[in-house]
Amino acid sequence: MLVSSDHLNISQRIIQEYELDAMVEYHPALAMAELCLLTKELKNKQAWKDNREMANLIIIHPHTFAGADEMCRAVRKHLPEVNIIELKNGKLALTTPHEHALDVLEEPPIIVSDTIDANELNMLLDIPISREDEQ
Amino acid sequence: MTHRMKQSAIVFTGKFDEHLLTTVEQPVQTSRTMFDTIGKIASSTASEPIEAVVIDDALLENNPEENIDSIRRIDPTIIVIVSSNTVVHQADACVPKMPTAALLRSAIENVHSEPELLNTDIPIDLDTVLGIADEIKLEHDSSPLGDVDLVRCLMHSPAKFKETLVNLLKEQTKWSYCAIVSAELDAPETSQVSPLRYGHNEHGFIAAIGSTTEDLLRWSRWAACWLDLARRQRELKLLAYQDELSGAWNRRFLRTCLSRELQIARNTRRPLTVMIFDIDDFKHYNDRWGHDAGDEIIRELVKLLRAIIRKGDHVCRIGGDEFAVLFCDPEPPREPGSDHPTTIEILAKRFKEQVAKARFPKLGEEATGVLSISGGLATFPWDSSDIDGLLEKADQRLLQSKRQGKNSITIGRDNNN
Repeated sequence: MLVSSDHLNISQRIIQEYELDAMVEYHPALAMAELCLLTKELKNKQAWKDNREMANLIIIHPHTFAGADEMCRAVRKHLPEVNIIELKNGKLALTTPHEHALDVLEEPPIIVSDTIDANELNMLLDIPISREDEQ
Repeated sequence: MTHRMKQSAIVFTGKFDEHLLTTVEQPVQTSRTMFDTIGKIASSTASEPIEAVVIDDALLENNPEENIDSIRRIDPTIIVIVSSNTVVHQADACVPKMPTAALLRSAIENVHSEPELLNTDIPIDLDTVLGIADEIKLEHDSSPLGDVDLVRCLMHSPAKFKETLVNLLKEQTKWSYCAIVSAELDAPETSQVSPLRYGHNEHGFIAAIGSTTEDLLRWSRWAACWLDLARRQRELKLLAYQDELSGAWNRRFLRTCLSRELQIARNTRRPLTVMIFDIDDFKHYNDRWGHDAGDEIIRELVKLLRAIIRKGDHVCRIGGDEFAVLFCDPEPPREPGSDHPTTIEILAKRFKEQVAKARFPKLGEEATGVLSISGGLATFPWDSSDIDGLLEKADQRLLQSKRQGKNSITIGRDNNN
């Protein structure tokens, strides 16, 4: 998860709400490096067939980082299997290469889960949905 | 620093002159952003390794540290060169804007030839090896812990320093929980966390339950100061016992460690062997190739030796080109049917062979295989039962090796390897 130090509380709320196993980085280059290492590790585990997890990148307010666009382009080029999810306009959304745009909100956004609930996010992150939720 | 193959690539990040890219005598990759470079490094393979990254300083903006650190996280052996008109301290080397291919090659070679920094975080308990921990048994009665207990712990049982510090904090503050953690995320969710920072030095975080923010901040400053003192104490100890040039232990360490190991060997009825060796005609190398080459030989020999010895053995530099190896492997001999001296003889022989094959770039290609060593081994209890006797016997056998034409290791019973 890439987040500026000003928005740490938001990242913690997201981690808790969606029960994510997240690594938090404050600088895009360091986040990119960690993402590469994590992806490599997960691929190794997959090769031994003891893991099916994939890495995901969550960027909190991309507009706060210079070079967020460049980072996303590099992730798509070198780590195409990684999902990029952004918190923009108060919403978590999976980005696609053509939809990537900078956040233009001036007010600090409030997290709402109207458009995406925990199960939907779990699906995006390839986390199995619990049986209780299915019922 | 790992020496890579000559045909490994250089990644140019940012804008560079086309002429430069075509004149570099090794594979070249280009990327426009730091992110692309990180991706390239991550996807490079052993058959297409990357030797160096050259970065246009315009891409580093105000964060050279984070940008360069991100490359080192992926591959710490890659040489980072910044093209800038000012010095960027975080880089391995800096070259001016619009560098030439020759200048770049020279910068890379210089980095390769730099000595490695001494490792101040050697994964052995120095105090245990030196026997300091055994000198005084720390006993704590029921009275509350205080600063004096921290000082005593620092002096006589530094391995337990953090534990004592936390115990003292718990006693003094009555917090229901207190711990020192290396990362903020390691702290329990319900705890309050404060960084342990003293000047520019980070010592992790303090996590507490039942504290006020103000109290936690005050105690974290106090604890950080103590932790910094403990770190400095350890660094000073390493300075006192380590050889600066090679990173090997020094003569002081050899005597202290040998004394302790002899005691253990006596108590456990185990043999203990010391090997003393020196480089044949070392003066000749210094005179012919210069002192830089001599220094490199010494550093490389120590590296080679460390790769061959076992966990628990120690390499010491006891003179200009004179070394001692203390074979005190606590495990039983690994060679089936062999006893301790036989295993050591195999190690010594292997080392002599490796030295003969070793390459030393500063001596040039023609010098491959010219280096040889002469040494002598002495083993407790057969050769002597005290430090001076063992060292003297090993030294005598070293001289015997020299007299018999050098390039040999005398192992006892007057027969050579």
